[in-house]
Amino acid sequence: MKSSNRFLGSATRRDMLKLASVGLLGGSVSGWLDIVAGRALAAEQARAARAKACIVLFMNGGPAQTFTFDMKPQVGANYCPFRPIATRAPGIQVCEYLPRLSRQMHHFGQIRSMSTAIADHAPARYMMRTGFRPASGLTHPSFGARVAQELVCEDTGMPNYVTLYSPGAGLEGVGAGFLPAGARPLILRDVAAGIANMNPAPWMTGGMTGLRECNELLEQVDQAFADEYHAEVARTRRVGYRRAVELMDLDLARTVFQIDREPARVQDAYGRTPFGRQCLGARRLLENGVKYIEIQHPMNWDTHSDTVAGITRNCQSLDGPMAFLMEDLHERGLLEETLVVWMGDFGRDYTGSHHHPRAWTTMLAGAGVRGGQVVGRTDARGMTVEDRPVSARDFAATIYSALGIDPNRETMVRNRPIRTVDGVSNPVLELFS
Amino acid sequence: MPFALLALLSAGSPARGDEPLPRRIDALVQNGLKAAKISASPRSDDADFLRRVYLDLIGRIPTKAQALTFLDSTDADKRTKLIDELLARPEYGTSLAARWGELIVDRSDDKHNLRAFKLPAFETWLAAEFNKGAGWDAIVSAMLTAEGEIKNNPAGVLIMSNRVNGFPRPEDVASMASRLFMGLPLRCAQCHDHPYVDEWKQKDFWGVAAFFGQVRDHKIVLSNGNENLNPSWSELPNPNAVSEKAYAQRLRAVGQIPPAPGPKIAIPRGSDPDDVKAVMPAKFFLAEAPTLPETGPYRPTFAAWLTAKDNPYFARAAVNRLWAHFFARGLVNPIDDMGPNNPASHPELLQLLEREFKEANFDFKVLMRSICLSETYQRSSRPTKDNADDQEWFSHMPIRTLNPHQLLESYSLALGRTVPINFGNRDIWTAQFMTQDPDEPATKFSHGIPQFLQMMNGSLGTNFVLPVPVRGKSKADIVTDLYLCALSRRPRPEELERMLAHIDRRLSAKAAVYDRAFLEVYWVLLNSAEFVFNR
Repeated sequence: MKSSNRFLGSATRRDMLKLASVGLLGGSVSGWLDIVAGRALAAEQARAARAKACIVLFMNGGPAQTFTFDMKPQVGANYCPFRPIATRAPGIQVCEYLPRLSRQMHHFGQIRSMSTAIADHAPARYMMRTGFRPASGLTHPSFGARVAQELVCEDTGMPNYVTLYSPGAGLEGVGAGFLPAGARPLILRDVAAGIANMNPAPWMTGGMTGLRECNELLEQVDQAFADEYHAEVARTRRVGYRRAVELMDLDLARTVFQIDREPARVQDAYGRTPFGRQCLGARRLLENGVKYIEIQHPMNWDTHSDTVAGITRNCQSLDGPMAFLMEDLHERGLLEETLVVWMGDFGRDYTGSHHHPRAWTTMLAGAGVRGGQVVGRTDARGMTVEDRPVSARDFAATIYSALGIDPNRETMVRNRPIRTVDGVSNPVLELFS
Repeated sequence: MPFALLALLSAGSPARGDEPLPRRIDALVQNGLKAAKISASPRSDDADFLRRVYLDLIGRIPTKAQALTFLDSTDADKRTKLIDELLARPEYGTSLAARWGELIVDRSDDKHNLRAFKLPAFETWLAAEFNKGAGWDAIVSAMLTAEGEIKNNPAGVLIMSNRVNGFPRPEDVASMASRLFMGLPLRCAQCHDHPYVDEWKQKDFWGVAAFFGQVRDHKIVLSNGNENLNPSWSELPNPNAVSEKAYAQRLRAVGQIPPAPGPKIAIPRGSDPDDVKAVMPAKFFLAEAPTLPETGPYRPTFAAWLTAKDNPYFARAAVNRLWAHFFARGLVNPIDDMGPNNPASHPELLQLLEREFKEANFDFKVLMRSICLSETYQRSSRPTKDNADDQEWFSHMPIRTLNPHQLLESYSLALGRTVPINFGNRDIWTAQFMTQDPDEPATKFSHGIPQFLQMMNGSLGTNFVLPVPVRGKSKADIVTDLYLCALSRRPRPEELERMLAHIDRRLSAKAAVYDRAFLEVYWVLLNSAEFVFNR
């Protein structure tokens, strides 16, 4: 972690890190110390943050932790027949169907003590993407929307936040909520499809030239309306239209999505599967300035039935593309400043078939994360957290801190102050030390 | 004259003046304008009024024929007649139901695909209730006390919309009910005493939640952890129900406190399901705790308290919301923050509307008619020299963004649609334009690049067809028709000239196709600010 002692003395900082590492900040030691210390630490981490962008790999349905990254062979092969294998990170094992990823585990810090309280997909995903429980009447911005809002300096009309959607997966919480239009995600079912509606309607004579001429006529019509009604909103809208027309003219707004421009060997290395294409697309978007990309793994991790076969297929689909994404980001020097997150809705019980939010696993890499470490511990069956519980809020504060966004900042929404992360949160700063 | 009759009937009540309601509304708004020393804009012209009242009462613009009928009528009473005609149309109920559908089944958290599977039945039920003049008290009671399966009782969608981990979450129901039906942000008192209102304690919030503590799904299957998509609500003991122990076990497994027995609720301290801070008995908000039987139901008692005529919140919240429907701001703002710390801009007007709403047995239609008949509503949206900055005193009608439903209905009507849009398609299309929470004021404009691209080049745009024939008509007549179809008015001379010049320029080009020149004009009109805003 970069040192930044402008606001806290080094001794204080070291003390707090020590407190954090022994887990004291996680429980309620005193009424105020954890709050004050947690906030100061989060704010400092935000200042020292190295991440300039973020890629999230989202496992829809809730992956079974004991079948993947928090293996419990002692439970018995009649529940989980997978064998654990060694990885490049000493002491860390993963399941046998993740052989290529096992060689990238030295990049990842694992949180094995996720502990949340929603076991329904939709509200759980909303919470894991925003840090908030859903609340009637107020939509919260996703991490991605916050990043698009706060880390982008120049508004070119290009999307800053892209969600690579998979059919059947959920989009709960991906939106920008109360943040402005520029913070909203571009949602793509197929990365190569690019931005929708980028070409003039086929009936329009003269294509783009015709559209530009019509838009000039529209400009005059709107100007008259705005003047007559003193309608500031109409002027705002006009600026947006102009930007949309400029975007239609912009070459990059098409080429960035064209993954077939990549050399064949790169396409092969990512794998010519839907997930491989998404991972390759994400790397292209990242290189071209997109700040936050969520890739939805196009497999169903909600393995109520056909559990063992389902998880086997999911792991096999995940392994190659995710491993090569890590390798590629690392080789291109992008991993230094890119936070990579692996997560899902929640975990599953030791049978791998039932939803289980009380103990599960997420992983972070890049952007100052010290790889090859494990935070938190679960019991012998992976059902309860025995050390360092990490709530949805703690998780949100961790992501925000890593990306240089102060989790304690307030935004006024309809006369009410809304914090970036609500209430008390203890970001998992151990990951960065 | 019905007004005279109304005035006569109410003569006994000292709180009511002799004037008809629209005039009393105007007088109270006028008092505010006088005190603020702001002038009022003049009455809207017929075209402005026509488009506005169609959008506000039935959720879409008029057809060309409907526009012409009104614009060319010389009847001095034509505005009143149009209002009555619109309120009698079935779209009155359907447009209001679509609005409440957005509020009750939040798109950002559409659990269990409620919008796709349950919302059509819910909106059909709600629309029928509105159209038959059912009181808001009866409608809200039906939603809060719903029993059984949704296919038999669509009102149960509100409870299902607040279900988490397989169980209706009492605190979420209480939070939604207080926000939507009492105008109070009680959710802020869920985890601690309310930060801004000293009188609201955490126990007051949970006292309300306690009334919902025993609602259950008696068809729940506990074994597989799957969500039951067809729950059957009941709060009475049921012989077929799963055991109390199994039920509690499932809740604990996901970190939720099992229900306390009887009309009580356990308040969690934090995330640990076994860490109960206190057990709170059911208690009306800032009022007494009713005597309740040990075995329910409890919800009817709460609903009766909430919707009673002497309840201080219910009618007040409803009329404030209704006012905001027409003026894009409530008499108290934000509309769901009507606490003691947030005074009304026009307290007497709020009281008047509240009284009249109760008098009308909570039928929105009666109040909507009076608001639309007021001069305040019928004012032009063109500001005067001194009132352009006014947002608070209703000196002129604000420019409002069409909500996604109004936009879709109007757009497809302008392109010649004659049959209703099916629910599924409607929901997918409106989702693209649902760019802000439904309770954000309509004066805000939140479309972004994807919406602009969709309007300019989108899939509805490729099926772009002229809604009127072009053969055998003069160019000027065609353009006039297009203005009537899109903007419900005739073009002004300079507008006509500008459009004809564009058409002539196009037709002089070699490859031009006659129809396409007119299509381009129509494209301009449907992409114009005037189309997307309600003026």
